[in-house]
Amino acid sequence: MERAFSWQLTRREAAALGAAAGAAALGASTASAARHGDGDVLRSLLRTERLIAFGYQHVLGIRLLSPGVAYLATSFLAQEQQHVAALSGQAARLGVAAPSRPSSVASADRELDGHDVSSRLADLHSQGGCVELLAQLEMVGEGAYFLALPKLTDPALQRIAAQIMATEAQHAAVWGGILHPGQIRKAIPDAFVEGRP
Amino acid sequence: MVRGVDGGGLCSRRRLLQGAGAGTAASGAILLAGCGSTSLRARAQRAGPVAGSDVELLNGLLDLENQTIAAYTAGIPLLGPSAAPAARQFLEQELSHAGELAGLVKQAHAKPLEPNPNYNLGHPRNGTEVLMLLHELERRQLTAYFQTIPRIAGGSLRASVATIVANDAQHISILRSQLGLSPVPAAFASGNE
Repeated sequence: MERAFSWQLTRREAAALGAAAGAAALGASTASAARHGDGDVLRSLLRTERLIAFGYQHVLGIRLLSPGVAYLATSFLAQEQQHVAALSGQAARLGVAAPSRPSSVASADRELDGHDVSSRLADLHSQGGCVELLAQLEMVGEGAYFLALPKLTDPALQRIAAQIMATEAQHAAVWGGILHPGQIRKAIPDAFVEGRP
Repeated sequence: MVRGVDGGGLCSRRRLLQGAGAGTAASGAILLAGCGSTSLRARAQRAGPVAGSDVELLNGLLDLENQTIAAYTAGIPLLGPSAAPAARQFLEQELSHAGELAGLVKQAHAKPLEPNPNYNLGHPRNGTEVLMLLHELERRQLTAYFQTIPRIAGGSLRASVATIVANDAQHISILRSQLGLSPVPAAFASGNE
């Protein structure tokens, strides 16, 4: 004899539906938390990128670089600005307010105080000093992305972060080559690029 | 046996390794060279647990590293004095990369991919053609790494793998400079430059 069709759920079916609804809610809140987490990470990365771009602008502004080195710095500044634009777009998508750029050389140097960087923007007197600063800024960038990658949950953001980290490493390698001409072991010393905290 | 670089004949890898100069003689020692202050074992442990789903991804990257190592090993003898030192440094670093990836696969209790007995590297006849070959192989690595990184399950492992591709990107910058090309052509490294 067939069981009569009934709208009434068995206790087991009700429990299963409740669990599914709870899982959906958890999934939504997990997704929301993930976006919130990614937003915080992006904000931190943007702060670092803005500091790097500010450093490049300051170095170019004080005109201590030879034409060839200034050409490279100008090119790398344009790329850093593309990083800022890309991250700003992603932050806006997540509803995160982007941090502002350093307001002055002094405020940029105060930010550098929080990193393992010996150079200071206010204390640049030679091309060598400028290039050393730019190399250190790039390593700060590498370090920021190295720390960010485990925290990012969006695969697209993970990829962008890895790509930017690699570009910062390329910038650092070029500056390393200028600081240590003919000494590749000093220019590219590490097989695993982690940057500086 | 590594095929191709010396005009088409097969070359013993052992002979090429000996010919490539200091730092390439013993693969065991080389695996620890050029990795900075942290041993490979410590690095592998810091990368955290390796999921089973990551093993195939890591072995795919290891396959590319092995091919690139073969190209550096075979090509270095054809490079001039301005390019050879960098290539030797990069070979050491590529060997470290391979060692790291193999160690991570082993951490997942899986078997790392072994290098092929021979690789088709074409027939570079001079230093410029070797540099072009190395550039191409490093670019392929970048493409593969950037496709792989978002697919890796573990966050710490993802960051560890990113440190490798960042170094490969540095190799590309120097190779490009040696080829007379712009060292950093794009704001977002991809391997398509």
